[in-house]
Amino acid sequence: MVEFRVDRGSGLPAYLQIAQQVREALRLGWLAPGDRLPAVREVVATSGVNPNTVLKAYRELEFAGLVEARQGAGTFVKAGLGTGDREALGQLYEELAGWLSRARQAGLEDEDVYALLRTALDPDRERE
Amino acid sequence: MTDGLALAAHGLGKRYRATWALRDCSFELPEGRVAALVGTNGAGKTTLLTMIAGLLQPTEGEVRLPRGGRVAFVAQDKPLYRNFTPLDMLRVGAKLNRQWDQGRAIDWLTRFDVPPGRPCGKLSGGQQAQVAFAVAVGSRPSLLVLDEPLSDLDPLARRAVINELLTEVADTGMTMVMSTHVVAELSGVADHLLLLADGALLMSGDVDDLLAEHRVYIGPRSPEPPVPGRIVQASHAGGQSTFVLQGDAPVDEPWTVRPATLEEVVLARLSAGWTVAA
Amino acid sequence: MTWLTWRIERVKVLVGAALVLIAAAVLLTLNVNGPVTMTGARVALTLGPPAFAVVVAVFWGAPLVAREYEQRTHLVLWSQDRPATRWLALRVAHLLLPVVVLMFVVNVVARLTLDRMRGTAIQAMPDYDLWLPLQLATVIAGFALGVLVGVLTRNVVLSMGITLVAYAALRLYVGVIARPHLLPPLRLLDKVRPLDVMFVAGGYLDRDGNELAASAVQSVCVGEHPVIAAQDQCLVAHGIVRSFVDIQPASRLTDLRLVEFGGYAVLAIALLAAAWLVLRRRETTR
Repeated sequence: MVEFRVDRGSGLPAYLQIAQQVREALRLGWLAPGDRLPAVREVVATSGVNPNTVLKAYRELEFAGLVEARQGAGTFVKAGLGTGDREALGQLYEELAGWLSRARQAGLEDEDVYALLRTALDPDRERE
Repeated sequence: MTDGLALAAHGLGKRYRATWALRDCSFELPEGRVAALVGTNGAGKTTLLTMIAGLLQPTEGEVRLPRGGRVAFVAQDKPLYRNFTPLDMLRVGAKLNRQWDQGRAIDWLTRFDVPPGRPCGKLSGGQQAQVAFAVAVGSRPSLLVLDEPLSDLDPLARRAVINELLTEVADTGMTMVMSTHVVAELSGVADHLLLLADGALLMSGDVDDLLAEHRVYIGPRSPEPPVPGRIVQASHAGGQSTFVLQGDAPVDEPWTVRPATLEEVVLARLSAGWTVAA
Repeated sequence: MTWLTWRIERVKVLVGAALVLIAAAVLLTLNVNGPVTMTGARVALTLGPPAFAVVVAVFWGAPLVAREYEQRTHLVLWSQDRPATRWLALRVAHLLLPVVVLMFVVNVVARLTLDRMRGTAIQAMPDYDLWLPLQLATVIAGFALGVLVGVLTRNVVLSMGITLVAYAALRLYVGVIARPHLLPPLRLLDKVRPLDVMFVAGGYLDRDGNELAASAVQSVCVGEHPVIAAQDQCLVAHGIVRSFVDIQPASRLTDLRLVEFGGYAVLAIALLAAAWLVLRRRETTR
């Protein structure tokens, strides 16, 4: 079960934050096709967001073809996200965790890790 | 009254002797919305809310509710009968309303640990506020009007009250209007914004739309923003300029652009003092 | 009375009832044969019922709406489904019940005491005020006055003060000054003022029928002429030919009371209607 966190200081509308967190959960395999998204009421009770916001996020995901609302039963994941296969994902995660602990030992902070990651993802930037 | 509206105000105004506390206020609020009424002190928030609650006769204009619409109002100072117990106050609510949900009201008291048998005068300010909320929630309104609901509460309770109120909205489909001056707490809570300044309604609109159309551009000091767009607010400090713009054009280095927070938009609009054509 | 009215007003109602019952117990056990206790009973019968009406006006009527405003609980009461005007009508109706019951008790006790006093040798007192319908009308008018003043001032202490002064002034004016003039008085010429009637005015008439105040005339003639026959001559010399007495005869008692009752009843209705209208104008938007 996913739990949403809404960053109130962010300029990103809350419904987009929720939709983004669902996408992330799909990408990371925490949510799989057939899984039920938390009911609007549960999301409201746990994360204190407006029910309209949750509905709007779910509608957004529905438009994107990722989830479907089933009358009276809730909203269910229709399609997965992420192109890599699941097993490789697990193995990569373990390697990354190992890499992170080495980075910590080398004294890198979160910001440094993000900077490295961004550079690695965007080699053009490195050349400038 | 158009279908699907929880509330409509048409040319609403209130004059106290020679001064207008509120004037020419018109807006519509669809059902199920959570609207935040934001404005500086003395902007006319309480005047507007008490007129919506049917407790104050407008000098001009009118407030319209749908057929069968029922309003519950919680005043800022959360008045109660001091010698009544919370259970007595719930009984007041039960006696004075056509609909009453004792279970919901009791749940609210239990959820916030309010001793049901102690006289309200001996409860803490926060507990008194919870009694007032319990009465309002128990009356199963179609429109819940709250004047500065969080003002007597500590930060932890504020969050919990907001969560419970939003859960009530999810459960019952009611509409909510609340005034506040803590804009930072509204993000994700309110989906509709009513902005008041000096007795005039500056804007009424969907929060997400509002956020989508505003961007913050930061870059080297410059008298003009780097992209076209309506300037909501410009500020210059040291070698840096910051513009809050209505528009979302991309921008080149060295300028950066990011979404504006609700607080930035509200404060920018309030200080700019825009009026929106009706 | 419903639960809510009782819960809010119970202290006042109980204190009012206790005061009435204590006064009743004292009066009913009082031995009215002695001159001292007789005087006490007279005072109690004269001042008791009006005092009860004042208490009702000041302590029950005035705070009825004013207290809700002052505690701001009107925001709780009138934001529910029941509008302010309907709330007012119900609350007034609820409280009128104990007012009527207690006034009835006061009336019965006063009548019993009066009967016991008449059984004694010492002269009794007139019982004009002890007519139940009139007592009910006066107490309800006072209550209504308090309610209206409370609605207008929205302040408990202020409304109680204004109600006290205004109601006391009204009762004194009606009881002492206005009452003999409620019906056109009967004029008796050259007669001694009868006992057992309500005296309105008295004096002398000249040849043209103009009235001359007795006091003015007597200071001229009585002082200088100790002999009565000489006084009469003096009067004639001043052009005075007759004396007169204006009275309300005992047979008119019921009519006078009815007129006064009607006045208080109309006043009570008008005051309550005014309070209702002010509240409707001020509080109700839908």
